[in-house]
Formats: sequence, C-alpha cells, structure tokens
Amino acid sequence: MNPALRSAHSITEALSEVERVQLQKTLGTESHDPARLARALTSQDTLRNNLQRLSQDALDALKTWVLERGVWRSAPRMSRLAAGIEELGQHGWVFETAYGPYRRTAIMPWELMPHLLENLWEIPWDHLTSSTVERSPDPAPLWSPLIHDIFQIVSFARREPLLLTTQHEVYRRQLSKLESLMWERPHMSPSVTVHHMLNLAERLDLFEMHQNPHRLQVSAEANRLWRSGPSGVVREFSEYLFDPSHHVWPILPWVSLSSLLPANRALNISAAAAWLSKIGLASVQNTYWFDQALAELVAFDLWEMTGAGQGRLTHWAQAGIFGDFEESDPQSAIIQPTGEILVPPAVPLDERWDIDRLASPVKSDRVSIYRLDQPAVKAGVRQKLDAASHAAALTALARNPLPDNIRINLDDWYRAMGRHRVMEATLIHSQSAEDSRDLETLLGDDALERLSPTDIVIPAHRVKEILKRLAKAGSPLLDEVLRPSEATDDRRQSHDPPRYRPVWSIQLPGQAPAASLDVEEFRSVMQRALSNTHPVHLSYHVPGESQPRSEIVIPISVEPQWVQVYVVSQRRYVLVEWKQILDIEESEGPV
Amino acid sequence: MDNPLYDEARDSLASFAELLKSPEHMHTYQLSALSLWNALSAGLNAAQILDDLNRYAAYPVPETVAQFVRDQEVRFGRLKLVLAPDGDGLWLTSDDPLALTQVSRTKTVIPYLEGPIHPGYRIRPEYRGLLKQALAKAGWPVDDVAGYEPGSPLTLALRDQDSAGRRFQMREYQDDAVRAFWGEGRIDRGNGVVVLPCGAGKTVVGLGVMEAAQTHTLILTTSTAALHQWQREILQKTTLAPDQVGEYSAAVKDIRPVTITTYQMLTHRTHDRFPHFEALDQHPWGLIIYDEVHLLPAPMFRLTASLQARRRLGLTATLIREDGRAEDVFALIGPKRFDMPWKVLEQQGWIATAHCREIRVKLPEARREAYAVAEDAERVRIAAENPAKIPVVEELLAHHRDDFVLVIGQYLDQLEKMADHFHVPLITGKTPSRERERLYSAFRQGELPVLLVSKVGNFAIDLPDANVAIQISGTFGSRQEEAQRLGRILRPKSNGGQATFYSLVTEDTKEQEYAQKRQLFLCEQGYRYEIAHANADGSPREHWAPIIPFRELPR
Repeated sequence: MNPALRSAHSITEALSEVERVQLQKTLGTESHDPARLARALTSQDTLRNNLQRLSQDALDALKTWVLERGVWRSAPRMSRLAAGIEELGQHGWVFETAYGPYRRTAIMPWELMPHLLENLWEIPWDHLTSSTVERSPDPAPLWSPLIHDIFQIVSFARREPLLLTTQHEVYRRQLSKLESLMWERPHMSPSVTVHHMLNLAERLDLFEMHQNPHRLQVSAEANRLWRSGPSGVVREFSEYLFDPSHHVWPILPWVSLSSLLPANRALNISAAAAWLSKIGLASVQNTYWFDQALAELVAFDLWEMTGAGQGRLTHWAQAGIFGDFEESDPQSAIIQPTGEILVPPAVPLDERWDIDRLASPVKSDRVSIYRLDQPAVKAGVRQKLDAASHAAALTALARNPLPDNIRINLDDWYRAMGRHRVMEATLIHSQSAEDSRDLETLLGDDALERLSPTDIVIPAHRVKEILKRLAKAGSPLLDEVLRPSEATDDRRQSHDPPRYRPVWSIQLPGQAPAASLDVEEFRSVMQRALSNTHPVHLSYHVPGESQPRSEIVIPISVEPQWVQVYVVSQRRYVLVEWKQILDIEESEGPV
Repeated sequence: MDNPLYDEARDSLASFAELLKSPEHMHTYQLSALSLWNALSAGLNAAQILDDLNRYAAYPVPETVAQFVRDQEVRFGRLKLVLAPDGDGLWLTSDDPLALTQVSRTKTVIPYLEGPIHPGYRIRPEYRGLLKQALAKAGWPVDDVAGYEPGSPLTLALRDQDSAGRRFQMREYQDDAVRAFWGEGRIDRGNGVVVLPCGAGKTVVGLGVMEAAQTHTLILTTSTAALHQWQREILQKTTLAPDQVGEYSAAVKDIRPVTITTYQMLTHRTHDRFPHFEALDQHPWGLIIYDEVHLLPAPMFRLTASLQARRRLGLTATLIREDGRAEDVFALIGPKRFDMPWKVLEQQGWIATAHCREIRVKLPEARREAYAVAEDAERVRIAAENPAKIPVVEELLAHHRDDFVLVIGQYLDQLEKMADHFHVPLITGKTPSRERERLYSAFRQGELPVLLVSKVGNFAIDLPDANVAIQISGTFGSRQEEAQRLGRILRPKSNGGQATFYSLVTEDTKEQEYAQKRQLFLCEQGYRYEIAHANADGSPREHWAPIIPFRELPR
C-alpha cells in the first residue's frame, strides 16, 4: 500500500461505503461499486470534460502533479497550488492518504497520467516516434513473466523459508535455486531478475518473520494477492514501481508517454527524454538514472528495445498495466494418472496458488507441471489436511476427476504419514513418585495424563491458574516453565507488523475521522476568539493518548481542516484538527 | 486428447517433434535439434513447421521457440560429413569457415577432430556417431552423406503366406517404421532406432528392413531363446532358406548371410580380445540389427563404435536405460526414427487391451519387525519376499483358472517357494536352454497353464497366449522391466481376449515406493493402475477391494 501513489482501484476499494456514495454523486456514476468508480475516475471522456471546466490553478496543479511524477511534494497552505488541489478534490479526483492525524498526502490515481500528458501538452509525435513492427492487440497473457517470477519466489519460500545473512541478504545457495526458477529472458541474467523480484516481494509484504529475524516466510498477504487476480497483482506492482520515492528517474511519466503510442510506433528515446525535460520534468536526461530505471523496466518486462535508441512498452505492459488481461479459465488443471497435474497458463492465480499448496512443483513453463507425491502429502499433513480433504481440494480445482490410483495413493500415504506426530507437552515433574501422586490429587481435572511415576501432563494454557491453585493449596511451584510449550499453530497465528509499509488509511479529502461533528460551531468560536484576541479553553484528542487534553490556548490561524494554536502551558505551537476537538470555550479576558 | 483436432495434430507433430510421453489426457512432444534436423532432411522447412505449430497451439508460439526452429533451418546442412578425399576416414567440411571455426572451438567436439583437411577436419570412422551426437548437442547438426558399406548382396523377400500357410502382410505402422528407417535408401538414413510396444511385431519391422536392404545381415539378440525366435520368424516369413540363416551361439558357430547371435557372445572376452566379435567383424555385413537395443551391454558401446560404417537398426519397446545411457544408444545406433504410442496400437487392436492392477499386501507382524531393524538393501528383499504374497497369488490363480498365467519374480528363493507351493515349473537362468524351450513350447501349446519365470523371462520371449502376468517382485524401480513384463502378455490374443497384469507389492515398504517409479513409464503410455489391498492371509481388504476380481470368489 503506497501512501503517495495509488491506482484508481486501490483508492476506491479503500474508501468507506459513505465515501463511495459521496464519490458516486460527484462522478455521476450509476453505482458506487469500487470497480465502476475506478473506471469513471480514469475515464478519458470525464477527464476531457472536466479539464474544460477547471480554473488555471487546478490546471497548474495537474501539471505540477505530472511534473513531480505523480505526487504533490509540498502544497503550502493558502497557496494557489493548494487551491488548485482543493478544486480537483471537488471534481472527485483528489484523495488523501492519512497516517495518524498529522501525516496527510493528497493523491490522484496514477492512471490519469497518460491522459493528462496528452491533454495538457502538445506532444510532437512525429519528432518523438518512429515506425516499427505492429504490436499484437491481444489481451495480456495471464501467466506472464512478471507474475510467473513473483509466483515462483513466493512458492519457493512457502516450501523453504528464505534464510538471511546478517546483511539481510538471502543465502547464495537459495538464490541459485531461485535463479533456476525464473522465466528465461535472453537479455537478462537470472540473478538480476531474482534481485528485483525479491525486492518486489518484500515491498508487497509477501514475507514475514517469525521469531527468527533471519528467516523469511510467506505471509498471509500472498493469499490475498493471488485472490486479487492478475490486475490486482499488477496494481500492487505498479504502485511499487511508479512510486517516485523508488526511482529518481521519472518512470511513471515515461511509461505514460509510451502507453500513448500507436501499435506500430516506437519512442525515440533521446528525443522523448529531451521533450519531457523541456516540459519541466527534472532528471529525465540523467543517463545514470535512466540506465538504472531502464534496467528495472526491462527486468520487469515492461519495456522492449525495437532498434538503436528506440523502444516501447512490451505487449504485456501495454495491455497488462491497463488491466486488459486474457480471460482466466477456472478449473482447467488436468490430473493425470501418472500423478502429474498439468496447469495451463489461463488457470486463475488463486487456483494455481492452491494447486501449488497441494502438490509438489516439477516444472514451471507455459503449462506448469506439479506432481502428487509423498512430499505433497507431507505438506498436506502440516496443513492439517487428510486424504479426503486433500482429494476434495484437488478435485475442486481440476477439470477431470481424481484418478482412482491417485486417490488410493493419497489414502495410503496419509495413513502412513499421519500415523505419528511429534507433539509438545507441558508437564509437571516431581522429585518423587509420592510427591507426584500428591500433586495429581491436588490437580484434579487439570492432570490430563500421567507420563511416568514422576511426570504429569497438564494443559499448557492453564499453567498460570494451576500455579495459583497449587500455591493456595500449600504447594507453591516456581513460575518458570523450563521449556517453551506454545503450540506450533499459536506461533503461526502471530503476525509481525509489515516492515516496510505503515498502515495508511485512505479517504476523501476533509473526511478524517472526527471526534466531534460540530466543526462549524467550533470554527466560528475560534474565529471570534482570534479576532477578539481572546484565549480559549480547548478540549481535544491527542493521537496516542487515551484521555483528551484540556488546555488554555491562543488561536493563531484558522484553516479549513485545522486550527493552529499556541498552547500556553507547553509554550509551543500546535496544529489541531477540527475533528479532534471535543469542546471550545472562549475566555473573557484578552491574551 | 479430447480435442477434435487431436489426430491431425498428432500426425503433424510426429513429423518434426519427438513424442516424450502419452498418458491419458495430454501427450508431451519435444522440439529438439535432432527432431528438427530429421524433419528438415525429410523436406519440411521452418515456415511449414511454424505454420503447423501456430495452427494447433492453444497459445501463441513463443518467439524463442520460433527462433530456435529458424536457427535449425539455417544451421542444417552447413556442416557435411563425407568420405575423406584421400580415402582415409571421413571429412567434416563446410562452405562456411566460421561454422568450422566455431565447432572446432567446441569442447565436446574437439576430441573427435583428428587433423585438418582444408576446409575441415579428418574424422576417424569409429567416432562418426559420437561426433554427430556432440555436434547435435552443440546445435550444429551435421549432414552425414558419407554413406555406408553396402555389404554383400543378398536376395530376400517377405512371403505372402508364412510357412504354416497363414496369410502374412506387414501392418501399416510396420511399413511406416521401415520407411522411416530406410528413407528410400537415402544416404542420411539407414541408421536409428524403431520404438514399438512389446507384441507389436518389431521382428517383422526388422524383416522389412532386411528386405529393403537386400544385404548380409547380423542380428544381435539378448538370449538364445530370442535367437531361436528370430530364426523361426525369418524362416517362416521370408524367402530365405535354412542354409542362409546361421546361428552363432555357444553351441553352434555358424556364419551365414543372415547370422543371429547374442550380445553375450559378442562381448565375450579372453585375454583382452573379443574373439567372437573379431570373427563376426570379418564378414561383409551390410546391416546390423540390435534387438532390445535398450539392453545393449556397456562393452558393446565400444564395439559398436567400430561398426559405424554399417547400416544399424535398433529395435526396442522401452527406450529407457536405468543407467542413463539412452543417449549413448542414440549416438551409436542412430536417432529415434519411429515411435508409436502403446495406446494407439491397443485401440487399433494390434496389441491386446491390458488392465494393470497393483495389489498392496500387508507384511505379517513377524516380518515387519525384521523389516524395521534391517538395513536398506535387506529391507527391499524382506518386502519383496513377503510370504503373504503366496496366498494372494493363490487367489489370483484360482480366479484365472481358465487363463494362461506367467508368474514373474526377481528372487530365486521366493520363486522356488512358489514353485513348490503351486507345483508349477520354474524357469531361471540356471535352466538349460533345451528345458526352457520345452517349457515355453508346452506353455504355448496350452499344456501348461501356469509358468514361473525369473528375470530371464523379462525379454524377447514370444508367448502369444499368455494373458495374465503376476509380478511378485522386481528390480528396484526399473521402469523398463515393468513395461517389458507387461509386454509378455500384450501379443494380441487369438480369441480377442484381454490381458491382466498384476503387480504384488508389500504395503508401506520401500517396495511400494519402487512400484510407483516402476509404473511411471506405463502410466506415461496411458495405462492406469487399479489399486487394491490384501491382508497378510491373502484376503482382500474391504477398502477398494472391489476393483480386484478375486474378491468375487467364494472364500
């Protein structure tokens, strides 16, 4: 989740129901379905219509957004830029990402960039492009190199958690294995691809750490990612790649400009860079940064060179980034009597992810091959599956019924492997059998089982109660449990917070959660106090504190979203959001 | 397989791609330099191949694949292998000096380049196959136009009726196999391997090639029984007279225009010499036929290298070698020229319809303890010799009381126990040839309904009426052994009946794991194993038992 650069879909999906209804009114759509709203937001017709109605400030704000690579770095309050952004907000284009009460960023969907480039500037296409081989108009293949490679990385890590060196690098041994799994790209070393894909997977929070900081496991986020389909994957990916803080070089404007090319034209790289520089994009002609960015574009299969100094978006990028993917073909995997599962390229990603969980990968190509074997059953036992549920899960994913021999093999393997399990137990060890017998009487129902004359198994989750009870009964025990007894599953359920991405909420501008709704009244009291130069008694919420604060403050400036005050007791200036204010009372005397 | 274009696509792919496996739902083909090279030499071009691929492919052909096909077209024929201008060996030459430079810098090719003959290199004739293999692997298929030694001429023809008066005619696929190998006598053909399922008449393909070659022929087989089988077939189905067909074995050493010998004879070594090989090598053979070529013993690789100047036909049902030397077979004999999925022949009725069944037999408690503490090698044996298999075999024999049953095993102790228990004859390596022939003959004539055989019965025994095989133990995870054993019962039955193959394995042991591996080749050919479980006393377990017919018997 990128705070500064978001796609239209991820914005509309993050809005509350009320906000979506409000946006629906602004955009004039028939429903407030997130997908419908996203389409309306990025509609070229809507944009053209709106552009004609915008003031110069709003147009300048749009140009600034483009030239600053999809963000507004700073919009001073009371400035023309701030006014322009506010006006854009009234047209439903601007949203806010918020992290706590003070960190706010105005954002627009990045998909608007190509349309804005086209409408706000006169692009000298003849000068910027040359003719080339016509590109296919087909939709983007679902099982494409980028998706394939992320899938391979995550699939590998699910089977074999990635071990990290003290420098937070994946061990070379595992990197080599990952390199062999990457899509074969004639122009790119697999080690470079793995490097980029690992970065991407980490940024998308597909990994997490459990207790051990040198071990990356696949997080639950991966399930969500594959459920979101190819468009969802690309959405997350583009937010990462186009993030202006990710690359100094303006990748988003470059890709946007390239996406406007007709199917039989290629971009003259130096001419395009010069033109972008001329319209005000900084650093576009810096060759070092350009090389860095181009390498990444090529690694992710977004860009192809069509000749010396010429290039264009790949077929996949042109269709995929703008959400035009081939139709997926659910339940099209084939289970062969050999135990092989053939997964055609159009199998939905979430189904593929499930098959990957239920069978061992053999080969990943256009048609990927998995095998139902004993390691697959071991993985199933770990996931608490049994033969019937394993078979049912596979049948639900396949075109043909599970062959009988495979079904019986599953049965036999589960019976053989599920027969014995290693368990952890918490037990009380006594010095003598006599002591242990006494203890057993005291424990009553809490004594689950006797393992030996001196050992009694107790429930791990009742250790504290048992200790208290025994203490009361005159048989105090030491508090420490000598060996950890948490169940594996409990450990699995604990999640580390994402390491890279703070939890940003997203909302319509001016829609931050309010402590009080009577903002107008507070504003008028504050205006009055400001003009009378009277201090006010202010009660307000402070982030991170459970109790509201009450302070004598001197109003300094009244803004649409907040008020700046001088807190007398603390001798400092503070911005307070209107929604944080619980109560205001104007004092009688002057400051 | 369900696609309406399946037949069309299969025929098209067969002309330029290699069939790797053909299980029930989806078949796998591979485009290799060799398969494309064969296609190009047969007159196809890259554009036609790509057209066909695009026509039948569900997804666009990747550019890398298209480029590979085009590259092969460009490279094909650039290098030529011809007779050396001075008559000493062969000459690898090309019109393209850069291509020669490139191959001369290729590590895998360098060992076979003798010395320069401008433009190109001299090649020793014994390296002919190895060089071609190395060049193909390096992506430079060579156009071999050096030709073969013609051998002494021999007039022979296939009969319209065999010696017993039955009408005889080559089947269509046998004809195709002969044509694929012979290639109208083209100089770039005349060597290679024909892969056909057991019982599909590979011997007849050999006879067809002999008819096309019209030359003195040496036939190498795996055993004396197989040798005699070839002899019978030749005399029954060709115009050759008995005095034209010789046997070169331990008992008889008779070199005739068509001579049949065994691999063991050829590789027999005394004082660092191969006397039988040397005796046979003197004869002007124009064609050498390697029966069951997947069994080519390792010493034969060296000997075969010196036979490179003669036309060579390899015949096999299972081109898999557990020692991983299948590629060497290709290098020395030649590429795969013809292959036919087993199930296709079954559908056409050329081989019997077979049902494969695996019965997992419980290990008795007493044995289980021994199994648990045994070393790995010993475990395999304990599992294989599970005594609980005897009552299961008993049940099966009772069920198949009207059938002809072969019981095949690996361990002599186990086989002898079975023989004692069931009072049926046993054939092992120790059984004299004459006794073997007598027993096989009795089985063929229906006098013996059950025959126990050790691994000597794995190959090249023609027992047309055997319709049930019970495998009680095998060689670890050998896929080809499993397929060959099934092959014993695949010859089409005179009554049109079906064949049943049982594999008895001990449940939850190494043997069960090996069984999985063993079955892989047959599963890839489209066979499906039905699985059942039996208790230690041979009674079927309720679970999944209904698929095994013996449960229907009154107990």
